[in-house]
Amino acid sequence: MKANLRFPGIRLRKVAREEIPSFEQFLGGLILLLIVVIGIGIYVKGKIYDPHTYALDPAALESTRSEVLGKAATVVAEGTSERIGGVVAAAAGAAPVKVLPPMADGFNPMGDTEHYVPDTLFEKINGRAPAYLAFNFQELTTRSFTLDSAAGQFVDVFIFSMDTPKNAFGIFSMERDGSGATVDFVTDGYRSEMGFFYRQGNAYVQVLASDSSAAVMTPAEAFAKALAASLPVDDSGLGASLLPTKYQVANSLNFIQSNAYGLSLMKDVYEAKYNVGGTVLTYFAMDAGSEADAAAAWEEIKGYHTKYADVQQTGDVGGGPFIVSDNFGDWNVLFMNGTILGGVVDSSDRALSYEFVEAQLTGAELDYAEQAPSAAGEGTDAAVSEEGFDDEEY
Amino acid sequence: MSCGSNNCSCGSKTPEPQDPVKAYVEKNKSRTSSKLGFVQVSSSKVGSWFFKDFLGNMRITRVRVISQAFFFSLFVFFAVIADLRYLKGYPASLFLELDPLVAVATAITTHTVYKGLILSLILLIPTLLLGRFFCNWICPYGTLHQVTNFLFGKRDDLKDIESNRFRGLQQLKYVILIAMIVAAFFGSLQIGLLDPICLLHRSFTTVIFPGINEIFPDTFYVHQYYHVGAWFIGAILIFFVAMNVVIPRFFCRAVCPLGAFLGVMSKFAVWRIERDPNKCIDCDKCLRSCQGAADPHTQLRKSECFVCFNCIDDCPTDAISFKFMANPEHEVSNPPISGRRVFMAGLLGAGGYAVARASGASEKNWQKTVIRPPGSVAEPEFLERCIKCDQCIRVCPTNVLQPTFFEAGLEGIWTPILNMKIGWCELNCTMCSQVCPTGAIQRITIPEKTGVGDFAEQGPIKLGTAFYDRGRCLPWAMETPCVVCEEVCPTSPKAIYSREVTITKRDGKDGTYRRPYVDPSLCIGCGICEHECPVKDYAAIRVTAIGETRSDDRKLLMDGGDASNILDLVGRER
Amino acid sequence: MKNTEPIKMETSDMTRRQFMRQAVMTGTTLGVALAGGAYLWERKHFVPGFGEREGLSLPSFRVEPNTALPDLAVAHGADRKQVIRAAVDALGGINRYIQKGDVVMIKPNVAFDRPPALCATTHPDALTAIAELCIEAGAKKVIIADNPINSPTSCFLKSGLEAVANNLSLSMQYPESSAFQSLKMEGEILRHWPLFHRPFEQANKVIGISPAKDHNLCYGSLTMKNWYGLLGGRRNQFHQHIHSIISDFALMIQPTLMILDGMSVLMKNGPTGGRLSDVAEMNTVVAGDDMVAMDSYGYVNLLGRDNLDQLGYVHKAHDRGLGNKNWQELKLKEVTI
Repeated sequence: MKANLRFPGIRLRKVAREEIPSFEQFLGGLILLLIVVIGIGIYVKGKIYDPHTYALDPAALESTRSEVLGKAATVVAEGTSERIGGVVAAAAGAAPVKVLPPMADGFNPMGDTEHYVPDTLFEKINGRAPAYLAFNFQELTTRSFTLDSAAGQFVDVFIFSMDTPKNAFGIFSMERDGSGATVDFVTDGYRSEMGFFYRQGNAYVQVLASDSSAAVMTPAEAFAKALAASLPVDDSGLGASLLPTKYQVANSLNFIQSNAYGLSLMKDVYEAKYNVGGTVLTYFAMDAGSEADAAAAWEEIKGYHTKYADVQQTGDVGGGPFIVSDNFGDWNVLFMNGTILGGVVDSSDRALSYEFVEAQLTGAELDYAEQAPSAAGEGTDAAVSEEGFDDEEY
Repeated sequence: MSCGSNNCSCGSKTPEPQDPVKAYVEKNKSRTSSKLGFVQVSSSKVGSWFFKDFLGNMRITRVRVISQAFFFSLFVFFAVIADLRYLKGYPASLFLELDPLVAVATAITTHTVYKGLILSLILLIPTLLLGRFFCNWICPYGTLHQVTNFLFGKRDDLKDIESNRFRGLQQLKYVILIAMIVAAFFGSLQIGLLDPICLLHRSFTTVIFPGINEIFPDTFYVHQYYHVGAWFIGAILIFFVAMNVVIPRFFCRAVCPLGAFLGVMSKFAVWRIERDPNKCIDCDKCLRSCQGAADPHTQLRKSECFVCFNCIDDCPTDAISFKFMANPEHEVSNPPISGRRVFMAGLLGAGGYAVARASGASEKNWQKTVIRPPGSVAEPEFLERCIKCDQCIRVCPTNVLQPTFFEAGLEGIWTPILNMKIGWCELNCTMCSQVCPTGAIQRITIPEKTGVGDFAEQGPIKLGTAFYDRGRCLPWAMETPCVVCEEVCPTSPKAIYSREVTITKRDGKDGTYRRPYVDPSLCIGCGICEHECPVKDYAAIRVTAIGETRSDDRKLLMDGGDASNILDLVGRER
Repeated sequence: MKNTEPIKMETSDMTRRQFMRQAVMTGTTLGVALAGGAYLWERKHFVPGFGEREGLSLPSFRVEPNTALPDLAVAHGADRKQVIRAAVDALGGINRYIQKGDVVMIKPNVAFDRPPALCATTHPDALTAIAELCIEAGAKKVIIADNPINSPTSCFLKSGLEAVANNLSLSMQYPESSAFQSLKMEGEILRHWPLFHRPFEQANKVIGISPAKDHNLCYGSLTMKNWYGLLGGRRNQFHQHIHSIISDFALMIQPTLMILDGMSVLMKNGPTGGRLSDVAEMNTVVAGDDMVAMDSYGYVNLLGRDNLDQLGYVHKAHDRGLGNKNWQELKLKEVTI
C-alpha cells in the first residue's frame, strides 16, 4: 500500500484517499492523451512554416555580417568579431559562383571573391560608380590577396567587365594616369606608382598594390600578367586604326565616348598625342558612321568655331572641307573626309598642324627627326588637354 | 467522480467511533483496491512500478502533476526556441496567445483581438465551465511557485492547514486587475506588468537565460546577451518566488491579475468542488494542500479555487467531490472584494493612468531614445498593445532590443527599444514582429519592412534617423580616415555618403579625407552605423527616433512634392 | 484549529430553478465570449504608418457665379472700415454672399501675438467691418477661428480681435485638440493632415480676412497663405515645400469671400515684422473669391514687386485650375472713396 504513494526516489506526502474510481482513471487517461496530442500538434506546427515570410533567410544575415565584418575590419582592426554576437551559425549557400584564384606564386586570398553588378556597384566604389555605369558597366569581380614576400602588404585586384572592348577602353583611358609607364603584356596598359591598369578584351583591370616597393610591385606585376593572359583578347570595335601610329606618343591614346570637346554630336572619338619633331600635337579622329551624321557633326564643329574662335582659313583638301581656327592662340585644324572627322586641336604651331593634317589626308610622308618633346610645349599641351577633357566629360 | 453518491452505506450502522477518521477508514477498508484488473496482475519486479504504482494509481492529482510538468516544459521549450536558429514554425508565443487576460485587455484598448490571441478562447471557454483550472494545470509560473513551496515550504500538516486558509490579502489581486482594466479603458495596457505569462517570459528572456549563459557560457547564445535593467526584473522574480516560503503561492493567491480575471470568469462555472456536509467530519485536512486557499472545508470560494483536486485526495471521509451543478447555496460565487473596494480600484486605475500620462513621455515629451522595433504601431497605440512580455527581445538576433526602464514613461516600462550600443537592427530580419502576440509589432514581412517589390511605392519602414556628431567623428574632427558608417550602411542606395575634402592638417601638410553625411530620405534608422562607429562610448553617429514612419507626428520629411527627396527616390531604382 | 464553526448546509442538489438560472448564465457568458472573439478578431496585420487613411475634405463655400457682377473689387481710401464696405459693395453687396440665417465662419490671420499696428495680423477694424456686414445681412452666428503660431489666447488678445469678438458677440473658437479632425485630400503635398474642423461643423459660409504681408520664405503672404491657420500638427514641416503647400490650400478650401487687407502693408521682414518702418500705407482693400487672382494682384500692386514669376504657389495653383493668376482677365471693379 505504501508503494502506491511513491514515485521512485521522491517521497510524496501521504494522502488519505486510496480508492480511485475507474471513471477518474479513464478521465485521467483522456487528459494524458490530450497532452500527447497537444505535444504532437506543436511538433507538427513547428515543422510547417514558410521560411520566406516567417523566419528570415539566415544566408542573408550571414552575407550582411561577413560583408560588414570585412569592411569594418579596415578601421576597427580587432574586436569586430564581437558583433557577430548571436547572429547565426554560419550558413551555407550564397557562395560566389565565380572565384578569382591566386594567379601568381606567393599570393594568398584575404577573403572571398566579391561580385558587384550595376545595382550594387556603388556599394564597392560608391560615388565613382556613375562613371563606370556610363560606360555600360556589367560586373565587377574583386578580391584581395596577401603576399608571402611582404608581410602586412596586400594586393587588391579589380576586374571591371564592360559590355564592349570599346567601353572598357573608354573607362580605362578616362582614368589613365598620364605619368604611367607602358607595359608590354597588353596593348592598352600602364604601370603606375602603386599598381597596374590595363584593358584586355572588354575588361578593365586594376591591380592595386598596398605599397610602391619592389617587394610588392614585382609580384603584383606577375599577377597582372597572369591575369591578362587568362583574359580573352578582343579588340573588336576599337577604332584606334583611325589614328596614325607614326610619331604617336606611347600611352597617350584616349577614347571619348560622347560629347567630346563639348560638342554633342562628337561621339566615339579617338584621340592621341603625336611628337612631331619635338612639338606635341593632339590629333583626333572619329567615324560618324554615315555621311549625313558626319555632315551634321561637321556643321556643329564649324558653328562652334565660327562662334567661339576665329576661323582664319577654309578650303578643301583631299576631297573634304577643312577649317583652320584660332582660339586665343591655340590653333585647330579640322577636316571632314567622307564619314571621318578629325583634326589637330589646341596646337601651338599652325603650320605644323596644317602639315600634319594634310599628310593624313593626302597620304604624304612626314619626315621629322625623332626628338624629345620640348618641355614647355609638352607641359602646356598636356595640361590643356587633360583639363579640357575632364571638365567636358565629368 | 467521487464515490460520495455511491452505494456506500453511511451513518446508520456505524458504531460510535472514538476517532471519526479511523472509524471511517476501518469501515471502508474492503473497498480500497483498484478496479482495473490488469493492474493487479503484474506485480513482478520489472515494470511493476510503472503498471502498479504509476498507471494503476492514476488519480486525477497525478494526471495534474503530469500536465503541469508538460506545460512547464513546453513553456521552457518555447522560451528556448524563440531564437533565429530554432524558431521555424513553432508558436513561440502560444502561452501569451492563450492568455485570456491579454486578449481581453488588448480588446479593451484596441477593440480588436490580434491574430493568435483568438486562441485564448481555448482557455476561456473551459474556465467558464470548470473554473480556474488553468492556474494549477497549465500555468508555468504557478507550477514554479508550487514546486518552490513543495521543496522549501513548511512540511508540517498543521502549519500547512493554517497557511492555506483564506486571507483578506487575496482581494489584492482583484484591486490590481480592476485598476489595470480601468487603465486599459483609457488606452494604457498595464496587465503585462504582473500577468504571470508575461512576467515569466520576461524573466526567462532578461534574467534566467542570460544568467545561465553567464555561468555556463555558450548555452543559449553565441555571444553573451545583455539586458538593460535586468537586475530589477530578476529582483521581482526572486521576490515572488521567495514569498512562497512565507505564504504558499503568494503570487497566485494575492497578486496575479490573470488569476483574478479567471476567478471572475469562474463565477458561473457549472462544475466545482463540493463538500458533502453529511460526510464531513470538519477535520480541515482538505486545507493541507489547498493551492488556492479557497475554503474547501466550508463554503467554497469559487473565484479562489485552482481546481487542483488536492482536497479530494486529502479528505479522509470522501466528503469532497468535483460536482456538476452543485447547490449554489454552498458556495461563495463572487470574488472576495466589496463594491467599495472595486470603486477604489477603479479610482486607482484612472488616477494611475492620469499620473503616468502626466509626464508626457508618450506625447509631447517623447524621448529620442525610444526607437521602437520595425513594424511597431504609433506610440499611443503601442502602449495600447505592448504587454511587455519581451518575446521580441528574446528573439532579436543582434541583442539590440532592450527593455526600457522609464525612457518611454511609467507606462512603457519594460517595453522594447533599440539600443545601438549593444546591437543594430538587421535589415533582412523581422523576427520581433513574428513573435509579437498582440500586434504592438505588426507581423510584417521582409518586403514590407525594406520597401521592396510590391511595397516599393510606400518605401521602407524607418525606425529613426541617424545624425552625425561632427565633434566626435574622426574624419570631421580628428584628421583621421574612417567612414566605417558609410561602408556598413545597408540601404540601397546608401543613406550615408561621403565627400572628399583636402584640408591643411595640424602639421601643415595637406590631407585628404572622406567626410560622411546622412541622406535623411534614405536613412531607415537601423543603427548599424552607430553600432559600428569606432567612437565606442558615445558614437559619432547616433540614431534618434525622429523620422519614424509609424507616426505622422514624428516624421522628419514631408512626403511628396516636386522638390521632395522621396520622389527623387522613385527615380532611382531601389 | 478552526477559526469558524462549519456552516451546516443543505445536502440537496440545486433546484430546477437554480439549475436553469445557472445554465442560462453560463450559456450567456459563453456566447458573449465566442461572439465577441469572432467579432473583434483581427486576422490581418498592417504596416504602421502606411496604407489608406480615413479623413474628410471641405465642401466648396463659394456662391453661384454671377456674370453680371464683378469678380474682383479693389477699393482705395483712408478709412479701413469704409474701404472694406466699399470693396464688398463693389462686388454687389454682402447679400450676394451672406443670406439670412447663415452661420459664417470668419478666418482672420492671428498667427502672431503682435499689436495691430505692426500689421502682422488681421486688423481689428477689418474684422469689425466684415462681422458687422454679416450681422446686417442676417447671419445667425458669426464664428471667429484660427490656429495661431504663438499661444492662441495671447494672439487673440494682443491682436485686438478678442475685444471685437466680445463687442459684437461673435463666437470665438480656440484650437483645442478635440477641435481637430483628419483632413484627406489629393493635394500636391497635402494629403493627410489634422484640420481645425470644429468651426465647419456649423458654418455654411466662410470669409477670410488676411493682411497683405511680406514673407521671407514664400515671398508674400496674401490670401492663400491665410489658410495655413486651419491646420494643426507639425506645420513646421510645411516649410520644406512651402509653395506646393500654399497652392494646396486653394484646393483645400474655396471660401465664400476673401478680403485682402492692403491698407497698411508689411513690406519687409515678414511674416512677423516688428518695426513700424516695415509698414507702408497702401490704402487698398481687395475683395473677391478667386484667391489666385487676388494673390497675384496683391503681390504686384500691394507688395509692389515686379517678379511675379518668383511667387511659385500662384503659378502652381493657376496651373492646376484653382484660379486665374492673370487678374487682368477678370471682371474688375475699382473704386476710390
